[in-house]
Order: sequence, then structure tokens, then C-alpha cells
Amino acid sequence: MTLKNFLLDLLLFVAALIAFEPRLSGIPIHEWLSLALGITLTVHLLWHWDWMLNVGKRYFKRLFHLSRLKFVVDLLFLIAFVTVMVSGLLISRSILPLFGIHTDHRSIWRPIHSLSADWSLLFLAIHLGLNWDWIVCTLKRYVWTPLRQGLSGLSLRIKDNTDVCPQPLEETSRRLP
Amino acid sequence: MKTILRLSIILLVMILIGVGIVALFENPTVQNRLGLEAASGRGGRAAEAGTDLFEWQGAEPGGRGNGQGRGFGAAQGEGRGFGWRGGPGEEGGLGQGTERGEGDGSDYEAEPGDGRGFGRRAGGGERIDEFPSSEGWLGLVGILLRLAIVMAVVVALVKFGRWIGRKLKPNGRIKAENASPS
Repeated sequence: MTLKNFLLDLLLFVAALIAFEPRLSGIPIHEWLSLALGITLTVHLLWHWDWMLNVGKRYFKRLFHLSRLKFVVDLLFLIAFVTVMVSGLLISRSILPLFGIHTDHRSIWRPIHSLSADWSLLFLAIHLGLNWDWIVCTLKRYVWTPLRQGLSGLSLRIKDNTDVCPQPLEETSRRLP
Repeated sequence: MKTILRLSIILLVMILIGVGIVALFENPTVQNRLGLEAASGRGGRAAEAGTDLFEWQGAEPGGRGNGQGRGFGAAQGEGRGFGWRGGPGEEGGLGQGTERGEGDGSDYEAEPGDGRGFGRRAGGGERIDEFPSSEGWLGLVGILLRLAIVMAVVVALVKFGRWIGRKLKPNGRIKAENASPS
């Protein structure tokens, strides 16, 4: 699961980087990529369902805790991301016109799109910062160590089901009251 | 079945957030309060030339004039601009190849607003309908930098918090252990 998580997160990250900079890809790719990003983010949320449910349930039992902070940041990130998606659709030049819907790209949604994208970037950075230990651990496990030991190490490790890097859920159940 | 249910809940939450956001920002009172109304185009088309991302980019930040940029973020100069990109700074930039230099410009696309002004011609801009453009790569570097800075701050804060936590805990224990039995 960790490897799947890692690969999905890596994909999300790269896609987000490209989507954040429309001048890099052009508007059509920007729009379609962002849509794909939205779908992938839904899968990401689905895979972390247990964590969301656990922290959500116990949220008010002990307020000052890293998991709670992560929960709030993730929630704000979700809101900012949905705002980017919605405002992006409302000023779309590629996706909606394809379906015969023409949008007013001079509308108020343009600055909202820019602003919410900036906020999304900020929350993405905080989200990554808060999960830094997991990122480093997973990178070590799936990238650094196999590179050092040669590619055979990767297959050995994938077969190994014991999770070296704590999953968010484990972290939650270990630390929450 | 469980997965479908969870997926539906996630999508429902996303849709609810989306509907809420549309309802919020389409509300005229909220628009007024946020100064968004001006954006949707009051009058003037002073900064008309090539406002499309595919057409032009650049216009060397802003032009110069003393126009009253009314869009989002007046370009460089004394523009009175208000809005997201923050006023009279040098934010304007990349929007348009405006002939008349004042103006407006959100981060990568200019809104005409009702800016008016005069001043130095703000360069013609370069065509960026070829991707990836050099501006795009620069933008990506900027994004990575911003990400790295914020992440570094967050990681440092978390580590500091943990260090403080560790520092405080043993101290408490030591104090208890060292306390005299009397």
C-alpha cells in the first residue's frame, strides 16, 4: 500500500506542479490535466479514508496535536482545491467549450481562480511539510535504498509487506488517545 | 460497495463545497465587499491590445503610465489598482501587450478594467503560443522555490515543536525523580 500511495502521491505532485503553471503547458493541457488531477485527488482521499474518519471522529478529544493540524490543513487544501476547480471550469476555454458551453473568461472567477491557486500551493506546501517524515522515509525505502543496492532490492522490498514507514492511520492509532 | 459509498461521500462533499463557493462569490454583496465588481468590466478598454494568453505575454511589467488601473492589480506606476494582486506594485506584468501602458493585469492575463492613462508604451510582448515557454519554466522554478521555502519552514517548526516536547517531558520526570521523599 505504501508503494501505491507513494506512486500516486508522486503523480499528483508532478501533475500539480505542471497544472500550477499554465504558461508551461498551455491552457488546454492545463485544463485537462487539472481535471485529471481532481480525479486522482479523489482516489487519494479514498485511500486515506480511514485516516480522515479516525481523526475526524476524535478531533475534539485532544486539540493540539499534529494529526489535528494535518486534518485542518487538508480540509483547507480541499476547499482551496475545489475553488480552483470550480473557478477554472467557470472560465474554461477548452473543456466546457468542447461541450458547447461558452464561458465568460473576463468574469470575477478569474481572480478567484488565481487567488485560490495561490492558496492551494501554500496548503500543498504545508501538507508536504507536515508529512515530511513519511516522504523522506518512503523515498529512502523505494528510491534511495534500491538505487544503492541495485534494482534487485526493489523487488525484494515490494514483496515485504511490513511497513517501515508509518502510515498516517497507524500514526493516528498509535498517538491518539 | 464500501468503496462506492466512500467515493460518493467524497464527491458529495466536493460538490457541496463547490456549490457553496459559487453561491458565495456570485452573491452581489460579497462581490461588492471584495471589490470584485469592478473586475467584471466597468467601461473602458484602455488596455485592450492582445489580452489573450495565447496572443501576447509580457509587456514588460506594466507599462508606465499613471493610469488608474482598475482591474486586478494595477501595473507598475501610480495606478490605483486594488484587488488580489495588490495594488500599485509591479505585479501587472505578464498580461498584455498594451499600447498605452497603464493598466491592469492579473497574474497572467489582463482584464481591461477601466484603467486609463498614458505613458510609455509598454513593449509589444512576445508570442507565447508555443509551449513550454521560457516564462513557463521560470514560473515552475518559482513555484518550486515557494514550495521549498514554505515546506522548510513547516518542517523546521514541526521539528522544533518535537524538540521542545522532548525537552519538556524528561525534565518533568527528572524533577519528579529528584524531588525529595519528604
